[in-house]
Amino acid sequence: MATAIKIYSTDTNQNMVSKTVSNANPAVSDYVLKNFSQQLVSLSENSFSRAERIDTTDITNATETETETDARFAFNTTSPFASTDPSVFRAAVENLDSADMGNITFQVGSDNTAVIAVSDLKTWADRNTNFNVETFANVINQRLFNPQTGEKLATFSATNGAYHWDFKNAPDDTYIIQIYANDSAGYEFIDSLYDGATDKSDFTGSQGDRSYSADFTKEG
Amino acid sequence: MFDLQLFADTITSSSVGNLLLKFYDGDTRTLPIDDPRADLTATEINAFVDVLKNTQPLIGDKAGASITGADKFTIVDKTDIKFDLSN
Repeated sequence: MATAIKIYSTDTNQNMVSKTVSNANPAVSDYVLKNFSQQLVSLSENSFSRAERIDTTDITNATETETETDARFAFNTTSPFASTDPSVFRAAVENLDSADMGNITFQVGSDNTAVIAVSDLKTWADRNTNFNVETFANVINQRLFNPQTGEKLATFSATNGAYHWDFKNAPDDTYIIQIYANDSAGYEFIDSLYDGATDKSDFTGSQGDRSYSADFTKEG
Repeated sequence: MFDLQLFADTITSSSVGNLLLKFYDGDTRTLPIDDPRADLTATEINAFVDVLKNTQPLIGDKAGASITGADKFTIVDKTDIKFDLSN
């Protein structure tokens, strides 16, 4: 369920005015919404005063969390699969912003192994009572394409706790992508998304009281 | 008689910037920016769109899809006339 933001600003006549922006992303943090509100007002003649979610939660003083700082990755700026140089992947990781996806990080080992780590998903879902798996999937999908060619690399969907990844344009064979999920107890390895040789793999896993199942199909 | 009525009316001018956003599912949506700054540049709009793409504060109206970019930004000048209907 989408939320809305009410943005208060001061116009050039020093009058307080408000504006409601509908369909705000319920999965993003207060900080992201506040930052958006500030930047939106900065494009106008008005001065930002405060912002709140439609449920009246005041987000004016929201601060960036450690999660948002650490979990940055940017498939939409550089395709990590376009190069065999792990540093390219790492650079992409540093530019990505997954503030709205909980703790998701990408790591590249010296052997060109790329690791997608999904952590604290349950915690994150619990924190965001309006957690929407479809939004979660959409946000991931928005980044899973090759910006040079526009080719979509994969499709990710999530329904009732079952996550599905389907690679249409397989990434470079030298990369092995693995997905991890964890809770506060630590990481749990789930499975390889794509290992360059296996066309399809299935996995089941669990995290706390949340279980996962998915199948990965390389198409084309 | 008409002139007297006009004096009682209220005429105000304003402008709005319409940013047409594009979403992953092909949906589009206009994000209005009330009273856009006179010195606003395309560079600033593009930077704002980049923020939207990277942080995804909004979702599409139809399927809740992610923002993929913006199609255009237009500024529309408006004149509002509030008629005095008391006569």
